[in-house]
Amino acid sequence: MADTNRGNRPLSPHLTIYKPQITSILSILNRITGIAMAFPVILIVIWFLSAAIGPSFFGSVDWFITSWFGLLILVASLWAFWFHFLNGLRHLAWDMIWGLDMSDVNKTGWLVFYLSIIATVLCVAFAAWAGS
Amino acid sequence: MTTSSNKKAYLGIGDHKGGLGHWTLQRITAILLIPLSLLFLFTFIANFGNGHAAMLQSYSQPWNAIVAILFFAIVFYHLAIGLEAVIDDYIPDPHQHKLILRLSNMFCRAMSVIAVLSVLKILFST
Repeated sequence: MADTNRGNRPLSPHLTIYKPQITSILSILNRITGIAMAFPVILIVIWFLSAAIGPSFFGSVDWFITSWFGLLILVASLWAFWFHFLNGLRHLAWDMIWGLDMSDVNKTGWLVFYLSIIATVLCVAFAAWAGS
Repeated sequence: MTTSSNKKAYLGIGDHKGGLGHWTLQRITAILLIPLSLLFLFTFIANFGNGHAAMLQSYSQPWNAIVAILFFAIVFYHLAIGLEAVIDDYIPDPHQHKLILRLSNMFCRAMSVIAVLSVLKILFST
């Protein structure tokens, strides 16, 4: 216990003094989207459960998820899905020692970010085309 | 093997023990989810908003039901491992850690059972 200054120093990882960067922002977004998607997945499980139970229960759950609020949750979750999916591929590539140069990390980071938005838009278009 | 690890395990602190196993399982489930999540997502989008009868009709087809069952079983396992990593990082108190981790695992297991049973009921009773 030679450390007499304990408690007065800023705590690691010094979130308040670090400049936000594509690396750190995407890293925490991977966690946030992963945890956040637990909620829509539970909603979808309830959708399946209600379909298995009967038409009246299904009716109310389906009414909720097809309401504007339900759609908002689903579209936001769709982006979370695509982000987590694409950034997951990035992680798997890193695990195979691919793309670890700083310039590659930055490039694939932005690529994942833009692709997640494009994929979300395409899926919403597909949903509209599929009639929902 | 070593006294220090055993003592930490006994006290419930330090050495997580399952770290490497979880790291590997997180990757294995992630790889399995690449095709499964896409298949599940596209089937879900195609069926979403088309009403009860169409939904039952679609998921009573064996292929769609199998994809949904595998997706739910694996995604909740992936979620449980991910939540455990987050709990490890942000909940330092060993008692709280143990409790919240147990609740998280119970919850993921319960959701996965409910989901799989629901799909099975749709598959066999439609």
